[in-house]
Amino acid sequence: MFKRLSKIIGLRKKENSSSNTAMAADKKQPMVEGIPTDINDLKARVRREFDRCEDIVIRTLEIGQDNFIEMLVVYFDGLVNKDTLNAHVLRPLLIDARIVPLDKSVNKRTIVNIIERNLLDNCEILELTDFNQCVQNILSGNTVLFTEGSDIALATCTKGFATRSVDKPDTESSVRGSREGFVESFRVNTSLLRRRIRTSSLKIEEMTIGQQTNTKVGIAYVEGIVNKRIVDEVISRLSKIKIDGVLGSGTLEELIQDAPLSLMPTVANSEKPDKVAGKLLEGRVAIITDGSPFVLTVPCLFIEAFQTSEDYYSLPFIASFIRMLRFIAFVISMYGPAFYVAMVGFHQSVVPFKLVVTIAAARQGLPFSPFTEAFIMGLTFELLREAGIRMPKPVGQAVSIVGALVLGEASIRAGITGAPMVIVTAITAICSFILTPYTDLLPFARFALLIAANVLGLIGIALVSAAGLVHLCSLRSFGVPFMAPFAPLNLSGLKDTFIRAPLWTMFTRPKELTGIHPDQNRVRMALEISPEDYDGNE
Amino acid sequence: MITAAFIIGIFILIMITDLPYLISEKKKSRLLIIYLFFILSGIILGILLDTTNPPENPSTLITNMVNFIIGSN
Amino acid sequence: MQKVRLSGIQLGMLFVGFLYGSSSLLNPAFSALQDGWLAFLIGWMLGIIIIAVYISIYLLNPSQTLIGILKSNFGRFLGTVIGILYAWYFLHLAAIVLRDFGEFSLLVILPNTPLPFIIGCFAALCVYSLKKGIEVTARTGELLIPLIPLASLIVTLGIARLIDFSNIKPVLANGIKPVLTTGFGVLSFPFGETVCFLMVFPLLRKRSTLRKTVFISTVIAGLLLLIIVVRDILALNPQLTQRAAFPAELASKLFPVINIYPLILLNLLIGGTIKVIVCLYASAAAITELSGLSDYKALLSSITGFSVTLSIWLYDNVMQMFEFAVSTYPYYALPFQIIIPVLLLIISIIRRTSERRKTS
Repeated sequence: MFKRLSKIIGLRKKENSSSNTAMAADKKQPMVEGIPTDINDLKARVRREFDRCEDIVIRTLEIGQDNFIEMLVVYFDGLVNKDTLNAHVLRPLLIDARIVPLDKSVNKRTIVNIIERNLLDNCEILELTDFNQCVQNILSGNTVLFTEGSDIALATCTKGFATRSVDKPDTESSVRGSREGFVESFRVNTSLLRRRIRTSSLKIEEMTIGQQTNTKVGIAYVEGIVNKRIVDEVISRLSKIKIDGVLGSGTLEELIQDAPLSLMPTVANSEKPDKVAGKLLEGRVAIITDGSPFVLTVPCLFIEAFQTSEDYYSLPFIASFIRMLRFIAFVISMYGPAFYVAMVGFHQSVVPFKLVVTIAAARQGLPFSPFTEAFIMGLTFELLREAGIRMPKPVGQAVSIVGALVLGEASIRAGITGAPMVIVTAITAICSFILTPYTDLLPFARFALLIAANVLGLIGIALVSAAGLVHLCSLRSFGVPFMAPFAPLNLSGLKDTFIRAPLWTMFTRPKELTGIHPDQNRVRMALEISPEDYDGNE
Repeated sequence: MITAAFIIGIFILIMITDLPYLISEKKKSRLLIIYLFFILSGIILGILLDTTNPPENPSTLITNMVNFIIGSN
Repeated sequence: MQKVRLSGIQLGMLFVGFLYGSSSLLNPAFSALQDGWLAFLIGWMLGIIIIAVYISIYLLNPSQTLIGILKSNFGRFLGTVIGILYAWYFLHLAAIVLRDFGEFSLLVILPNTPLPFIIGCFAALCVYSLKKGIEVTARTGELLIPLIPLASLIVTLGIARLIDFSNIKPVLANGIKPVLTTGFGVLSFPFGETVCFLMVFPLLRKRSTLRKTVFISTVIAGLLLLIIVVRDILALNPQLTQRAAFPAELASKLFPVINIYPLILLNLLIGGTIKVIVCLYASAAAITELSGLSDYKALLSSITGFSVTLSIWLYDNVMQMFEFAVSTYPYYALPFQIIIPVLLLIISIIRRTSERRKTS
C-alpha cells in the first residue's frame, strides 16, 4: 500500500516540480528537410504543406531573358504588406531583372545569389535551406521565394499585418512617467526597450515556445548587471515548456512559477516600458511574449507591488509618503472586515467606549451576525467588480449605479446591513485597488482572515497572518527570497521599501538581485554627486 | 465517545499530512516505531483525559519527586 | 537537499524571541515582590554565565549538536540515555509554553473556547512553519521579532503616569534569601532554557560570530525583560502584581482610554511561537539524531500532536500551573540546565587538554 501511495505522491510531486511534464507531447523535433530543386516537386511539396489553407498565395514567376527561370513566390494573404511585396520584391524580379543580364550563361545554382545580392531591394533577406524553416517564415508573414534548380530559398521581410499602435497602458496609468505602453507586436516591444537602454549590453535572446502557436519569446537582460544564474534559470525553465499554445504572457507566467500552488505570484508583469527598463537596470530579467502587451519580469519580490515607476520621478519625501500610504492600504484592505468582526464579536473592550455604543446602535435589529454581514458584503463587492470589468462599457455605468445603491443606502434602509459594515467594505474596496498586482488575490486573504476572526477573534487573525507570513518567507523567486530585503534582512536594501530614499543614497544596485560578485561593478551612481555639490559655496 | 473519535481523526489527519516524509525516509521500520509511539500515546492520553477519572498529571509527579529529593520544606 | 544555514542576525532574533517569549507574560521575578528587579538582575547575571557555559561547550565540540556532544563525552550508552532525557525535557518545555499560551487566551480573550482547540491551532502554526524549514522560521522571525520591543514600549509609555517610586521600598525587607531564590528561578526561566539552542547552534553559518551574537541578544532580551519587571513593580503595586494571574495583562488594562491587550497578545504570539518552535525543533532533531533517522520533519507533527495532549494533561488548573512554575520547575530543570552542561564542560575541557598533550 505504501509503495502505491508513494507512486501517486511521487507522481504528483514530479508534476509540480517541472510544472509541465504532463503536457509534454511526444512530438518529435522536425528533421531538417531539404528544398526540392525540381520546380514541379517543389510546387507539389508546397501545395501539400498548405493544403486547404485557403489564405495562402502561391504565385509562379518566370524571370530572366526568355523567361528561362521559374520562381515560386509563397506568402499568406493578410500577413504581408502588399505594397512592399509589389514594389520591393515583385517589381525588381519582373522588371528590373531585365536590366541585369540574366541569360542562359548564368548558372542556375548561383542565380539565387544574384537575386539576393543584386536584385532585391528589400532590406531584410534570409537564405534558407530547410523546408520547415521556409514554412515557419511563411507563417510569420515573410514572403519566401523558391527558385528553380536551387536548394536555397530566400525569405524577404514583407510583414505587414494590422497591429495596434503604441498606446497608453490601461492597467498602469501615470502622471509624470512616460505614457507609452507595450503592444501586442514583439518587435515593437523590443524596440521600446531598446530605445530606453541604448547599450549593446542589453541582450535580447529569442526562442520559440508552443508546438502549435510557435510563439516568439524574448529574454531581455542587461549584461554586467544581471546575475548570470538567474538568466540560465529562466532559459532552462522556458525551454522545458512543451505546450500546444502560448496565447499570452500569463501562460508562461504560470508555467515558470516557482510555487505553482501558491496564491502569490512569483513573476511580475508590467505594461510600461519605462518600468520594465528600470527593472532591467536593477538586474532583473524580462520575458517578452509575442502577442501580449504584458512583459514579465523575474525575480519578483513582495515589495515590487508597492513600487511604481512614478516613485522615482517624484521627490523622495512625496514618494515615501505615497509608499507608506500603499502599505497602509494593503493592511486595511486585508484586515478591514476581519478586524471589524473581531472587534464587534470578541473584543469590545479594545474599542473606545463611545465607538462601541455607536456601532451597537447602528447594529440594532440587524438580522445577520457581523461575520455573515461581512461575508455577504464582501461577496457582493467582488461580484460588482467582476461585472464592472467584463461588462461592455456603456452597461458598466449601469452596474456601478446599481452597485452604489445596493452597497450603499438601500441595504442600510432595508435593515439588512449596518452602516459601519458598509463603511468597512467601501474602505476595503478602495484600498484594494491601490495595489494593482495584488488586487486579485487580496479577497482570498480577506476571506481567510474573516473566517479566522469569526472563530478565534484576534488570535485567529494573528495565527492566519503568521501562517501567511511563513508562507511568504518560504517562497523564492528564481532563487531570490521573496521577502528580501526584509527577510533575510539587508539594511542597504531597505532604502527602497517603506520609504523611497533619495536617489543619491541608493548608489549601489540591489544586492539580492545582482548577487555578490567581487568582479562586478555594483555602483549604479557615481558617489560624487550629492546635494552638497550644488551648494554653490565653492 | 465523540471526543475519542475526534482525537483519533485528528491524529489520522496528522499521519496523512506526514505521508510524503514517511515514504522518503530510508529506515522505515525504525521511523514507524517511533512515529507510532508518539501517535498512539497521544491518542491514548487524549482518550484517557476525557474520562471522568483522568490519570495523575506529570506536574504532580514531578513535584513529588523534587520534594522527595530536596526534602520538602 | 540544500543545507540549512542561519545568519548571525537570524540566530540572534530567535534567541531574543525565545528569551522574551512567555516571560513577558509571566513576570519571572514577581515572587520577590518589590525586590523583583534585584532578583531579576541576579538571575540575568547568572544567566549570562550559564549561557557562556553553553557556548563554550559548543565551541569545544564544534559542529556537533547536543546529542553528538553528549555521546562523544559521556560514551554511547550514557550519552543516549541523557539524550533521551533531554528530548523529553524539550518536549515538556514546548508543552509548558503551549499551556501558558492557552491559559492566557482562555482567561483574557476567549473564555468560552475549549482549551485544546486554542492550543491545537497554535501548535498547527508551529508545525506549519517548521515543516517549511527552520530557515524559513528564522526568516519570519527576522520580520516579526523587531515588533516585540515596540509593543512593550507602547504599553510601558501608556502606564508611565502610574509610576510610583515608593513602590520599590522597602528594599530587602525580608532579607536576601527570597531574592536569591527568585533569582535562581529567573535563571531557570527563561535564561537556562536556552539549552535548547545547543541543537540550533550548529546551523549557524559563521561559527566565529556565535559568541558575539548570543551575548548581544542575551543582553537585549535581558534589558527588555528588565523594563517589564521594573514597570510592573513601579507602576503596579507589587502585591497587585503577585495576585494577578498575568501582570502584563493587568498592565494593559491600566492603559488610558482603550484596552490594548491585543499588543500583549502580539508579544506573546510572536515570542511564544518562537519558543515553542525552537523547543519542538530541538526535541524532534534530538529524537531524529538519537534514532539515526535522516529528516526531523518526518517526526515533527507526531511529536507536536503528543505535546499538545501532554500540555492539556500537564496541570489540573491555572493555580497548579503557577505553583509548578514557581516552586518545582527550577529544581526540575536544574540537572538539564546546569548540572549536565557543567559536567559536559568539565569533561570537554579535560578531553581537550589531554588531546593536546597527546599531539604535542
